[in-house]
Amino acid sequence: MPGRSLIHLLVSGWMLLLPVLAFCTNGDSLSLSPGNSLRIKTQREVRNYIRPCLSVSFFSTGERPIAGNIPVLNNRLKKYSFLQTSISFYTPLYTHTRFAGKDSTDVNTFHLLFTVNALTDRPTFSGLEKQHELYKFGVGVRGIWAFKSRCIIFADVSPFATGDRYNDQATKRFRLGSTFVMNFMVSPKFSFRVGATKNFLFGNRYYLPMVGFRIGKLDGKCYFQFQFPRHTSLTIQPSPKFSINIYSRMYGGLYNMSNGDSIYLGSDSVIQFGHFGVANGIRFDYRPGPNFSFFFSTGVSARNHFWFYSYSFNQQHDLGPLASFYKGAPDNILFINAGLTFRFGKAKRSAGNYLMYDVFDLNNTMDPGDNNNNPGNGDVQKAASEKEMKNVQYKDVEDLVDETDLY
Amino acid sequence: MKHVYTILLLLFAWIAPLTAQTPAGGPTPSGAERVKALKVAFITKALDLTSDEAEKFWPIYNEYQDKREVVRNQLAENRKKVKEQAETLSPEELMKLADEEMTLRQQDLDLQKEMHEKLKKVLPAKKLALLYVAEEDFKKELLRMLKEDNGKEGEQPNPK
Repeated sequence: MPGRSLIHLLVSGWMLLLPVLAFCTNGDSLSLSPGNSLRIKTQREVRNYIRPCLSVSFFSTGERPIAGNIPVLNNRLKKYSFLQTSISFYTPLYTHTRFAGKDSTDVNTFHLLFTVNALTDRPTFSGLEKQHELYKFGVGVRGIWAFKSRCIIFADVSPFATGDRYNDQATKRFRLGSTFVMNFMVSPKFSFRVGATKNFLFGNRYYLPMVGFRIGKLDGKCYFQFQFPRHTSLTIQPSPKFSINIYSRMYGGLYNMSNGDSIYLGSDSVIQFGHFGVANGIRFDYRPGPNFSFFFSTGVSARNHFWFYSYSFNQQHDLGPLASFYKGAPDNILFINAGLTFRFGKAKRSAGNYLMYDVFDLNNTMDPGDNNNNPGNGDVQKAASEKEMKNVQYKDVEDLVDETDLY
Repeated sequence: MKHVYTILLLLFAWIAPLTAQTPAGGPTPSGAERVKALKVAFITKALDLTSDEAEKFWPIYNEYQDKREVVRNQLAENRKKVKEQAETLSPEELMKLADEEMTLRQQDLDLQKEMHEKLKKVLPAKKLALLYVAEEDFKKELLRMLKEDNGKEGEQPNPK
């Protein structure tokens, strides 16, 4: 299969290239080595603000009846439930920092990231003997430019392959998701975003505006975000390690689906399946250390819809390519959602740098692969409390100490 | 999809060790992070920066702290070498390391001066002067905490 070979080739190429890029971009030009004969390890400055991040998430709803516009199909499909598993990864490829502005006091940064995402959606219809397993695999790049102490430009391009394992060969298809956003930080307590996105979150292909704002500091006790078409959320952070998030977020996708089980009674071997829901819930994030965090979330999935589209039906009836012949509306249902996030390596200091916190937030809000799963803002440094002083050990501070400090 | 997961895991296995940089002989990553976070809290309290001042101050300060950390880690690395191999290194090599000590100290000072010039443009004189006092006070505060901790734990061996 040439398509699959191409993906493997591309990924293998990246795998070989990434370590080289990582070595090339980690250090700076300070030449500190005393000489090769001494074999002393040269210390390098960490260049990246964003650390490589791997996140895994799982989302599942219960089973409920379908109320669709074709009774025969309702009876055939019977009950509907949904399961999603997702792995996403991003790593900085190149980071550039420079002093700019009229008196060289703005620290401008540019971040180029490589993203990978693999996702499986399992819409389960209890009336079908063999279930469909829809998948999506994408690699992409994103650029984030933070400048003038207040502005950020974000651009993401995520080409991805989708298909249905029911009949992989017939259903494989390439799509492209992309997002362009400008973020303006008015103050650490308020920022807003405008932009545009081409995405498939609503179970169809849409070109949508992106508008949003945040009220409250990202490292503070509480902040509120409205980010259309992603989420609305209220985040409460009682401690640096723990946060509670009350949210409403969209989830969905558009896939080619095999018509091997004749969901559409025409001659099509492939039809299209789109689904959409709004997950309203509460999420608990715990971050035991800088490299690992996990979350658990539950709530109600509302405004659930799924659609079947047939290109041949639409051609016959002079309709657009993505006009549905069947629209199902499953009832509201409880869901559970859980995930793990790993971050690796060291990053440059960003404490108190609210523009960088907005960079982190943008990067996490726009997850790799356009699935609207959020790995959490674990890289935003929360203020340390004085009681944490008690755990400091001598080895943590020895290079800070001078003999004059002792008398 | 199995292939995809395998590829992602391989990718993860490749990247993780490459990005895990811990300076030799330096503090543990979690310890260092904690001290950095405490320092930020300490300086924030001491300087009482306005929102506009903080917006400019922290990116500059962080940038130079990162650069200075490289120099200090290199100093630690060189000193470790001297300590471990003073008997086996040639006089030329030892002299090279001693010279390097001065070069690195000078580089550290140059970085401090560069930072000072930049901070002059974003902080009022009083706050800039207080910054250096706060940095010293922070070290003393840490030492006081360590002394207290050692006192509580009774007969502890010398941490060095």
